[in-house]
Order: sequence, then C-alpha cells, then structure tokens
Amino acid sequence: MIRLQGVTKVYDGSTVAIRDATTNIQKGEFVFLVGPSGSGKSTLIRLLMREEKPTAGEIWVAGRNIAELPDWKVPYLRRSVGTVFQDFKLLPNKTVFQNVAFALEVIGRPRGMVAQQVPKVLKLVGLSSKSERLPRQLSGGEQQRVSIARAFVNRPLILLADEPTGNLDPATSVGIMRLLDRINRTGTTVVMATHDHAIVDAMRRRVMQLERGRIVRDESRGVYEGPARAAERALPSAEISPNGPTTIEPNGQHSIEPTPEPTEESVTAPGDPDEG
Amino acid sequence: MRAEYVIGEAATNLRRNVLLVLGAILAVFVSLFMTYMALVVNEVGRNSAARWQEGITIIAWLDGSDLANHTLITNEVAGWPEVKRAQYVGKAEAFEEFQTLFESNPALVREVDPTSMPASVRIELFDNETHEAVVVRLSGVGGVDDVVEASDAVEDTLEASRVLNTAGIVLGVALGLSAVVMISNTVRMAIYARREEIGIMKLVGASNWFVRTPFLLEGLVEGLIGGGLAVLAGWFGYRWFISNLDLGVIETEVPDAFLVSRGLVVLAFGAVAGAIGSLVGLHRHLQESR
Repeated sequence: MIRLQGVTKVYDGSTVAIRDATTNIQKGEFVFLVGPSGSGKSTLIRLLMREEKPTAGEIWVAGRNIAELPDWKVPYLRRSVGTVFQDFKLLPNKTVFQNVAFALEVIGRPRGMVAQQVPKVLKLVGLSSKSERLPRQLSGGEQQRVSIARAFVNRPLILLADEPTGNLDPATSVGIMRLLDRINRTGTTVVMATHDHAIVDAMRRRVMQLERGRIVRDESRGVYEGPARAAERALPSAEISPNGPTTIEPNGQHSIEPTPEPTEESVTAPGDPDEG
Repeated sequence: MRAEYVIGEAATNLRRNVLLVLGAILAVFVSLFMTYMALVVNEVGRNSAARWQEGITIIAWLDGSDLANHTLITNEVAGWPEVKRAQYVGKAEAFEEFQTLFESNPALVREVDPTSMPASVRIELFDNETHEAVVVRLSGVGGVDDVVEASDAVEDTLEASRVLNTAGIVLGVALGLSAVVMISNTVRMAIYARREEIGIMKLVGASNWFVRTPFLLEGLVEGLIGGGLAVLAGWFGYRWFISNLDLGVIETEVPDAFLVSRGLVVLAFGAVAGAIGSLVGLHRHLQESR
C-alpha cells in the first residue's frame, strides 16, 4: 500500500527532515510513527499526502510513485488518502453534517450519495444525534470524531493522522483510538504520528521510531520506547529497517501503565453502530 | 449542482468585500471608458480626415452629372492664381469614399444609390488666408451647388483628436493594468478570507479547477460589470456630446454599428482583464506542494 525507497527531504537546502527512509506498509496495517519533536514524523505524513515533495527517493502510494505525480493529479491522490490533524480543521460556520458533507461535495459527488453516506459515517463515529451542531458546541473529542468522519466518508485506502489525540485528555483519546482501530479493521491502512506513550503501548501495533529524520526502529507489535520493553513481554520484534541502526535500550522506562487494549467488547459510545 | 456551487461561491466572495469589489469595478470602468472614447474619437478623426486631408481646405459640390461640364469647372478653378491644386472627385469616386467612411455600417451603404453621390472639386490653396475670396468666387461659378470649407476648427479638431487618441490609449493601458492589479487584489482578499475552507478543500481532494473557478468567475464578473458600465457611459456620453456640441464641418456622427462592435471589444477586454486579474491573484495562493 505504501512503499518508501530512499526518501530524503531537505528544507531550504540544509535542514534535513527525512534522511534516506526506506520502508514498506501493507494494506490494512496500523502504524505508529513515534519520536521526539522535529524527528520528521509530520514531514513523513506531509510527504505521504503530497503536501511536500521528497528531495530524493520514491514514495509509492496505492501503486503510484507520488514523488513523480504531476500537481494536477494530487487532488485524485488525496481522494484515496484521508487526513486527520491535531487541530481538527473543521469549518466553524458549518454544522457537523455540513462539515462531513463538504468533503464529498467538493469532489463532485452527487447529492444522493452525500445524503446517504454522511449519516452512515456519523453513525460510525457516534455523532448521529449531533449532526446539526456547530463545531464550537462540541467537545474536543467530538470535534475530532467529526474530522475523522470527514476523512473517512470517502472510504479512503489510507488514513493519515498527525497527532490526532494531541489536544485531547487521555480518556477521550482512548475513544478516538477505538474509532481509528475500528476504521483500520475495515481494511483501511492507518498511519498515525503520535507522542502518546500510553496509546502506543496499549495498542501494540507496528511502531516506527524516527530520530533526526532516520527510521531508527521498526517493530511489528511495538511499544513507544525501544524494543527492550517488547522483549520483556516476550513478543517478537520483527522487521528492523535495513537502513536504520537498531537501538537497543536496556530498559524502556514506562511510568504510565498502558490502558487495556481496546477490543470489540470495550464500552461503546452512545449510538455506536455495528461496523459497516 | 456544480454550476450552482460556483455561482453561489462567487456571489459570496463579491458580497464579502463590497468596497474592494467596487474599487476593482471602478478601475475597470475608468480604464475601459478611456479606451472606448479613444476608439470613438479615433473614428471621428478618421472620418473627417478622409475628406480634409493633404491640405484640402475647400470642397465645391457640383450639380448634375455632366462630366464635360465638371471638367470645365475643374480646369477653370485650377487656373485661378490662388489655387495650388484642384482635384476632381467624380460620382463613382465619391461613392467609394462614402463606402470607406461608412464601412462599419454596410446597411447604410446598401441603401444609398451610387448615382446620388454628388461630384466635387477638392481645392488646395497656396495661402489659406485667401480662402474667403475663393469661396465667394466659387459660389458664382455655374454648376457649383454648394461650397464648404475647412476652418481652423477642422485642423484644431484633427490635431486634438490625434492627441486625445494617443492620450486615451496610453491612459487606457495604464489604467487597464491598474484594473488587473485591483482585481487580483480583491481575489487575493477573497482567497485570504476563505483560506481555511480552501485548505480543507485541497485536503479532501477538490480539483484545482473546482477551487479556482469561483474566484475566476468573481474576476470575470468584476471585469464585465466595469466594461459594461464603460460602454454604457461611453455610448450615452457620446450621444449627449454630439447633440449638444456643434463642431461645424467636422463629421461627428459615428454609426451605431461601430459603437456596438467596439463596445463588444471593450466588454471582451473587461472580461479578459478580470480573468487575468484573478489568475494573478490565484497564482501563489493555490500552488501545489513544494
């Protein structure tokens, strides 16, 4: 689904944001991008949605090298890549329904489809009863659900999330993660950049760690801080990036106890429907 | 749904920035008004110049169609000491001249019987100070129907029309550029006001033209309104001018067909200025990935 081959991104000729990144993400995978601020997580997300072009290397998304994609085709790439951000990016003067419908309207989907798809996706994110509210009348978590609904309403192949829980408290974050997990289970590939130890440790999904633009760790069921912790749990640490040296930290310190992994039987949000 | 959307968005943009939009329309209006007037003045000058050229200061219109008689008159006049040159213009030539004068009004040309055009003698003098005496003498010649002369007013007006013409074109171009800048500014402001929305549109994969079209339409509307006002003002201004000012021998009448055809050209210029202005305004703001 996503393949990076020797991707390097240099800003202004000197600042290296991504350094020779090579990796492969399969369809349906859930990948966390972790690492300190400035390590290149957001740049990687921006590269994947072609908000930026790589300085060198190839980025294959859904069978196309998007580094070579002409500008006029970028909108068509974006239709198969949903994006969610820390700051929600909702339009304040549109209702929940209109915000989600907007994503379909601007790509020229017929009215009937909008009327059919929007309630469906609002039901999925548990906001059916609030479809006529304005964003400012919602909590942060609810606003992020709207933005996820907007990203998902067009059924993208890939969902990119840049710190989606960055503005939310831990309890609300769990709800958001449950939703992303659910979307992932429909077959959508999810790539999420995050700082949230608790979430990464609880989910036990693939973790890709970046440091100064390099992929320094890549584990299939990883935790936030190094493979030691994973080893502690006697889980296999696989798929180490061929380019990034493996960092072995003797002791991955975790002060936060991971929240239980969200499962199907977890508490459901009101109005949470069956998976579509 | 698509057209509805584009028109709705453009209307919203126009409403949000009333002052800026008015400024842009005014700029288009002033520049195109100048251009339109320059075209009309140019046409008036061209019409007059066709007759009053190469130093010809007196025209004697002749009766009848007797060529022998006409030649006699021409030769007589040519022999006068004050006359430098007397040129005979026969009926056929007069009709040709008429066709040239009114080439923009073919309907009128079709209506006119070629034989009804009077023949004339065009006279150039050695010294224009002698014109009064020559006119008096011409009036006494048998077969001369009417005598008209170019006064200083003719020369002055022709000169003025040349100056106005140049000034009009120069001003029109300068103001046209300012109109483009004004339109690109209003479009830029409209984009700025909606940058959030545009950002999201691009995020979810709206095509570039989907994002651009409303702003293009906005510029186009501004250009067309400005151009339309210029044509209306020019039309009525010109009509008022010719009905209230008598320039004597100057042919100020310009056929409606000319006004209409040049009006359409001016309107098209307005539309083009609007489109260019909005494209300039759109350019940097909607660039794709770096």
